[in-house]
Amino acid sequence: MKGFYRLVNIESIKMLKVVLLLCIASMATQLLLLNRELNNFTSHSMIERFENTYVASGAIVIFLLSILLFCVYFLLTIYSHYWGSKSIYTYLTLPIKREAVYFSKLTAFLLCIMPLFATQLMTIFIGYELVVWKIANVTEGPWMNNGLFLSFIRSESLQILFPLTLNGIVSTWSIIIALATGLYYGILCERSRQYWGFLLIITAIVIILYVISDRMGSPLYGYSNWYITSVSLFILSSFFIWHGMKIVKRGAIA
Amino acid sequence: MKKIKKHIAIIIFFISLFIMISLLTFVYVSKDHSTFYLKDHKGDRSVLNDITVQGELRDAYHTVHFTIENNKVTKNTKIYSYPISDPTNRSWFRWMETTLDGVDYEILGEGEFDIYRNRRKTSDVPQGWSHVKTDIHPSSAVNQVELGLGLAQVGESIYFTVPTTSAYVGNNHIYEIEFVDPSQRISRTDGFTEQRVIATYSLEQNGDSTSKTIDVLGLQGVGDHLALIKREGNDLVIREFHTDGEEVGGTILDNFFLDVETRLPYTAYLNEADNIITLSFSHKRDEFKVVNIEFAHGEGFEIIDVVDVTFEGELDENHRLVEMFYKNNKLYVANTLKDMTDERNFIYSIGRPIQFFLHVYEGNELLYQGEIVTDMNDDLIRFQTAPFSAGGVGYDYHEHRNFVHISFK
Repeated sequence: MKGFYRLVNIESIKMLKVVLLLCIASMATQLLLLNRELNNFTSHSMIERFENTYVASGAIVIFLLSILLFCVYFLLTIYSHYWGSKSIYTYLTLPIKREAVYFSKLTAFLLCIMPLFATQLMTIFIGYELVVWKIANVTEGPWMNNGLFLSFIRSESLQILFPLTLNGIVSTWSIIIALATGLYYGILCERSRQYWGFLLIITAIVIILYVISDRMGSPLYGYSNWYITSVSLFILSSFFIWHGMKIVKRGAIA
Repeated sequence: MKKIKKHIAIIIFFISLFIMISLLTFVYVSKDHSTFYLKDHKGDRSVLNDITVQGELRDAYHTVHFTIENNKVTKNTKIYSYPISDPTNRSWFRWMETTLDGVDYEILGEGEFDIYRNRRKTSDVPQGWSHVKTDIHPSSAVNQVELGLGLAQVGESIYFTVPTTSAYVGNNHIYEIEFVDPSQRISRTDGFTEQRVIATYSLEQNGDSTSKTIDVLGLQGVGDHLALIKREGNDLVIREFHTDGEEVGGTILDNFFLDVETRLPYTAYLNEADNIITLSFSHKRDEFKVVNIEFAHGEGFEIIDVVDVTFEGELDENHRLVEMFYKNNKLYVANTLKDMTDERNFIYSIGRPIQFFLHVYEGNELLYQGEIVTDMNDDLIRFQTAPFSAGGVGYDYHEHRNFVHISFK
């Protein structure tokens, strides 16, 4: 356990600098974009709801981009074991269980993605105050009481990122875990040349895209059961972990 | 520093977790921070002591259940697990739909009718289909009638009579409706069961120009009896039937329709505990003539009050809401009105704020007017601020709060 803890720490430290840089860059860019969106606002402009202003500013794309960059960086950290120093051999000969090697990377990924989400949440809070301040400065017009809460329940993108209902929370975390385990499993499959594993990864991607489009859809057409799609993603994630661990244990990735 | 570095992963994780949990908790808890209180405009709110008002203010994503009891407003906010498709609860086909005891019914046809129970699956009751053949036929051009008003419930049983205009002749019936599984229906007559006729009444005098014409307005279940509501000439006629079909009496309001401004159809409201039916007829623009009929066992129906309801304001036609309830000689009305006192210039008329009022009348006197003040008009922010050059703003009814399911006890 101690070895695992130490490995998680080592892996996390490696990624943390980049993660913190991504956090700062993401927050700053989003607030700049939001400010730019508000710059055109005059006393004769239409006052939009916060969630519409936020999405229109393109800020949400920046967050998705930061997640994508983080995933790419995670990939690079793993592939770096094979380049230059070939440290993968050192890893596999460490006097700790290979399960610990496997889980340390996965845990580090999940630990390091958390600051990105926390920063995103802070950005939304600051962004909301920025919009309220700007509107109050430029116009005496109306504003929405409890507008931030309403944004969180009415905006499809905020509902997916930060759900307030149990089924939404389960669904979102099933997506995050499937992304993390699937990404890692993909690397292991490629390294061990077990390409058939990609079929299951594609299945997971299809389910994730289906869930996102379902949750982004209009209430008019109803929704599928998010628990069922979450369970299917959890099952796939469990397989990715089980088989991924098997590949690492066999040393097939060397 | 070295020690921190040794545990940096877990520290960063917990800081992030703490930020996320505290901010999301803040958002979640603020669901209860919406405005919701009763503001007196006229009279003393103690007149509300006799009743309990319940209802919901909702959009597709969340609902605020409220109760007014002993003059106090309590509310409970719930976020929907899955956003709902029809937050307005609006009936798009009002003339052929009705709701009895929380179950939706649809009536389709002309001459012969198909009655569907829970067709849109809005409740847990099994879906049902029933087919009704009639012995009536039009003798001249037919105007639209509200078929939904012909359906009534007594206990578990559903009864139906065909609402007709004076253009119909023949024999109309009151049927006891038996529903079958709609999946068994292949053609219109397959699976068809002849509906039991419990009473028959004639419309033949519609063909006789010397007699009073008959419009069948509807059927209402009150207590264990049925009230057949008709217009005969200018009179409002209520006929009382036992559920075995025996006609046991009735009452008449002479010359009720003499004032041509009193128009059909009507809307019926029921005070089940006191066996009082309230029939509300449109009278001029945004006014109502409200007839309150009490049913007492052994004594039959008696018209106890006719109230003229007028409002200071315009009814909101986009989300028309009028609910009535009669108790202890008072008529309680819950309705939405456009706020005409707001002097802002609204380029889009839909941007004009809506007010939700409780009115209490005794006789024709307005005893009390109170407003439930909410944030619902905040949702109109785009319509209130869009310049003319915006060229139109889209309205999504999922993202606008409205009052629904208002009920009195």
